[in-house]
Amino acid sequence: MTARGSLPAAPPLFRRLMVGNRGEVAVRISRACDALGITPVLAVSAADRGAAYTQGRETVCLGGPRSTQSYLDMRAIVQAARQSECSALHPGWGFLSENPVFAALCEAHGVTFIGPPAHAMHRMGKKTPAKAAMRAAGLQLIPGSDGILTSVEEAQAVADRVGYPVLLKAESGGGGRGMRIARGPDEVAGAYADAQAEASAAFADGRLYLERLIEGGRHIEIQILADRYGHVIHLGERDCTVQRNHQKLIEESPSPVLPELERSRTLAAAVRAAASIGYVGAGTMEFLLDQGGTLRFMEMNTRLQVEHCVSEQRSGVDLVIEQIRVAAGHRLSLRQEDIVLRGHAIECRINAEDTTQNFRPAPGRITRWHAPASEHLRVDTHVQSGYEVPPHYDSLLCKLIASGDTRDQAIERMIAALTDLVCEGVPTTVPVHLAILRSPAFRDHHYDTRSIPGWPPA
Amino acid sequence: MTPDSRLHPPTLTARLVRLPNGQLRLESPTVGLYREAPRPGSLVTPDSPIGQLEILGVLHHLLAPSEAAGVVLPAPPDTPHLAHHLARRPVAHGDLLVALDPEAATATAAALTSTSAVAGTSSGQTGKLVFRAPTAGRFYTRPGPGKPALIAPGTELRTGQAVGLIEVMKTFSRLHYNGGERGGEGLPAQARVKAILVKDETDVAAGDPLFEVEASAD
Repeated sequence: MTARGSLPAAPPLFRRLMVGNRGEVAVRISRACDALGITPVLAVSAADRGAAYTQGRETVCLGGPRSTQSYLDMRAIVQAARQSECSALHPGWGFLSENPVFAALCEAHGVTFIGPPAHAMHRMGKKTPAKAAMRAAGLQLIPGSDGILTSVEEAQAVADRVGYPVLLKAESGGGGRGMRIARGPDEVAGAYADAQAEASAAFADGRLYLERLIEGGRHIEIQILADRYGHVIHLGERDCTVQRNHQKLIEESPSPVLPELERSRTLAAAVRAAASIGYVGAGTMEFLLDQGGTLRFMEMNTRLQVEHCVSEQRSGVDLVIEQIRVAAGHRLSLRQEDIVLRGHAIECRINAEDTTQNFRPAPGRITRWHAPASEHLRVDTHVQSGYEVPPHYDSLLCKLIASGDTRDQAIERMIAALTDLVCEGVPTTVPVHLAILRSPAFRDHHYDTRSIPGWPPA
Repeated sequence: MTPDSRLHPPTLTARLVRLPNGQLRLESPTVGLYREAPRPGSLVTPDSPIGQLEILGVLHHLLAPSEAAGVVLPAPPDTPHLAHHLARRPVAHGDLLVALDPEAATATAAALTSTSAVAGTSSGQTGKLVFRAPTAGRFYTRPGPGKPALIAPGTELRTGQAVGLIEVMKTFSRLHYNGGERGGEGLPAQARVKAILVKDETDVAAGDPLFEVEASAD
């Protein structure tokens, strides 16, 4: 480096890091640790102990196979980090990654939680404070009530103002529960009562808010990266419109239908909004693109997402490495002008599900597995031949990410990769992906969140 | 709020795995620092404490499962990390806490049971009727040297009848059969000697059985 000889290598950010997740997530985070010279220690359940993806890694068994006994047992994970001498913990995505109590527990026991501070997580976890913060930062919202509804009469008045149909949603809701649609003034009272009852039962919180129901929109999200010193950048948007039961099937970047003006306006506003709430780390803001071409803020995910790879492939930035660096107190090494988003990237999530049996999850033993490999293809998986898909967790086997100069090129490469993928022993969702990618509706962008283009096959 | 863990330590129960060789493996139920493991050779009984697990600074009492009993086996020689002298040993779910030999425990328990049957009340758990030494001392079956023994198997006894001598600090006292009274609770007022359990001139402790009787008809 200098004329007097090379400088000693920079010390690692952390020496040992606990990975509080499983499967493909654990593989992804371990890879980033390897690149940074950090020793990852995998927290595993009794079902994952000895799985192929843990070979050659240090592991600590948390508890029984069920998530509540292992990957959701906060005390066990933090104690595991402590006694295996990990000074940091990456929660991955899913499980405890958006739990502010868990983040606070880590900090209380001297383990650096790789994610946003607990207060930012808590604020964005509740719907109405999150929306208030985003409105203040200049993002467009879905028209609706100003926070919590106090009565049916107020709900009726707000619904009349924003226009029908409207959606009544639980303040503490999630997973589609505590939600009711009212298509006209005479349906508001009934929907209010039903949503309140369901929310009270499911979340012990009967508070509701109301939004105009936007039908036929497209799901678009923006990847944010922030450090502790107020620097925030975005890595472009992802279009995740192809969904089944709120589960994303295909994600791509850039969105093929987002107007350029709306894109640049919203990306800039998203960066301002993240800075205004003191956000730190990687996060995603989810929007609904309505038929008028306006992006309206829905919610923020205070974690990395499954589909982060799409943004990584376009930008060349390793988001997990950046997360770890930020958590260690480093400044972002990139400025917004350093980020160049190239070409088009598309991701398919391959699940162990039987598409002929209404997508029934199909755990079992994978007798033969062969993942395709090529220059413009990235494969994120924890699966090998002989892998036993446990019945306790989600059914994701593998993510394929294809890139190209154009959308069509990326799609063609993805079709080739899907055709080359060999998985024997359990059924997969590959047929659905092939049908979608080959369908004229997908190619011509004639689809929205209500239906899957090209599926079921005619 | 949870109660103060210093006053009311939370408890955890170890997991039990039966090995093919008959040994029992007690495993940690969760992640923590294991301390105060029982020493090799000590007896673990069902639901008895087998040490403590420290989880995020909180001590949890670890109990043996209710089906587990045995004698703690020493750690295998190739596992220095299991050595008992370690103050705190990090364990994960399913890690070995202690290995037990249940058969050693059965033998110990059998020995305990047989002792307690004899040392129990006069009408012991096995239904035996025994006459016990009221004090510690040396027991004589004969009233003097060269004289015949006061009792022999088959001797009919009544309350108040002399059955032997006991010497305490050079002082000889007669022992009287005392069915139903002090030292003879549970014994019948009329009895027949069934077996004499100690030899002449034997040092006995208070409560030691001296001879066995059975109720006689008249």
